[in-house]
Amino acid sequence: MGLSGSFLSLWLFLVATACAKDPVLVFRPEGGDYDAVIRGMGREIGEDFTIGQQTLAPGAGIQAMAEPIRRTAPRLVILMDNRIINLYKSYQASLPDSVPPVPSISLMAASLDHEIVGLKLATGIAYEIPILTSAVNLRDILKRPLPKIGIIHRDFLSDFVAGNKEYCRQEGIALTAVVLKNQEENFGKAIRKGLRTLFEEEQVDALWVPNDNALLTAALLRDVWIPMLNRYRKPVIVGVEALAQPGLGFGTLAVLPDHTELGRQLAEIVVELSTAGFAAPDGKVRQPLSIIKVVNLPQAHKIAGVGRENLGSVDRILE
Amino acid sequence: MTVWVVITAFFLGWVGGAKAQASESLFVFFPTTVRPHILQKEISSSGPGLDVTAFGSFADFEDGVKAKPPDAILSLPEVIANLEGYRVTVIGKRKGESQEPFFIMSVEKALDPTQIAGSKIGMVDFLGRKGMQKFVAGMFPSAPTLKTVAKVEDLLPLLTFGMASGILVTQAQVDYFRGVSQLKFVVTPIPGAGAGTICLAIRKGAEAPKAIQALKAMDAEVRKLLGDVKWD
Repeated sequence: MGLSGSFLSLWLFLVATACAKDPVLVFRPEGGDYDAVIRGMGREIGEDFTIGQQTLAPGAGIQAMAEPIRRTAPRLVILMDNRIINLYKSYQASLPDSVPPVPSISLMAASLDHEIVGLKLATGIAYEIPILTSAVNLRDILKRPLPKIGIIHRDFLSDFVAGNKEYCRQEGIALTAVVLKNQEENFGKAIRKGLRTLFEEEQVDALWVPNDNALLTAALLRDVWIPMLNRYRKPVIVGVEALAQPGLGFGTLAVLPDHTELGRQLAEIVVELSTAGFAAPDGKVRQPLSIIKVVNLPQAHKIAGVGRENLGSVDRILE
Repeated sequence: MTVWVVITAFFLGWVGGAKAQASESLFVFFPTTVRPHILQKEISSSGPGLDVTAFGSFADFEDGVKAKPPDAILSLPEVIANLEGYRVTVIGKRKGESQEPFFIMSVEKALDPTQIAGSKIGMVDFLGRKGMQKFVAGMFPSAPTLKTVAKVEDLLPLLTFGMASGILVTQAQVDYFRGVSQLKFVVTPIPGAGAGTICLAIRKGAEAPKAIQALKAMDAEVRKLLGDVKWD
């Protein structure tokens, strides 16, 4: 190879280095919502990063993470759901001190601020939609003030609710909570009492219901929530579309994560970290930005006189 | 029996073919708080025989145009300028103007547009990530860090949760946020910064008489959904 050949090789090497895309590896469970997030991220940054993904079935061990990390040498890993975050924690713990951990972004996990404690070089996006976001959207749909919103929740959600109280205060909304023990002997009795307190003593203008399976069993819905809410006729915010079905007579507005847009938000963090040379992430958990709004129109109309003209920003109208 | 099946199939094929030939497609992509399914329905009602598809995000719109370029597009002039093969045919005006200024909206404290380098600023995406960075870079002496969202209302949580120091918005968006939020907003004009209002662009070599007719037939309610626009 002559001198010109050497220059050519050097030039090709420099071009290849400059054009190399940083690898990002996603660890995820099966499921359409995870697909939507990855698609949303890929549309934003797919041209600039090599995005690999590894589906981890329940029961997968740390070896199922170690092998793809060794093979792809990612600059960043993305961890979707609590099980996978905990698996990555175990993987990090298994590494010798001489091996630096790969930074991570976690999302689609319950109580993420607690979950990422102990994870090195971590940041993430919370999955729970802030009460403030839901409240501001309900107020926009009803076109009337909502100075006081009531909540019945179990104790494990106290930190989440406390954090939201401050956000809501800035918007002129007071959150009034009835806190139940994590294990109650009789949830039906406690919820009934809590609803009476909120609607009769506290005179709340609306109710926010957490996605808590223990409080939303079929029996509790049928025997407690629905009869009580029928009596008080106040708007109810829920976090599952099925709970806003008109036939059920429960939720007025369902507020759900917009998974494609969650992917965009994830992409923004990937770019931020990349710009900083994948140095230590700030350890903060960001709030999710985008939601899907579903309105139970018959109920919204019956309770608050809401008509279609109020629903321009609503994604789905159930009738 | 077989003969009738053949005749019916031929007739249906002929009718279908004639319909396909007659149909004219219009894509709508316009940053607004109104959901695309509503825009699509309302604009369709102004244009019988017009096959209207409205998009809620730039990525969806871009994919749609790549997959099947429509006869006409209703969007911002900046969006059209980034597409090949479309010419602006009708320009919409708002309060007599075809350009709309941008403002920086922040909470409690004004942001100085000349000192914005390093600040995180939110904006609705209408050109894709790189296109928006280029667009915004032209507004300031040194560019801020841009955080884009697909929906107008997603700008509010950026401010509420302290994820951006300010948001770049039009007057209509300022009015919207003042209507839905009680935050103490401060609105600062950005000298010389703005975008076109809305326009109809037609694919080069194509004609779109139904799309033009639909604009003319739009009543005040539909024009209001597009930002109270009037067509020149």
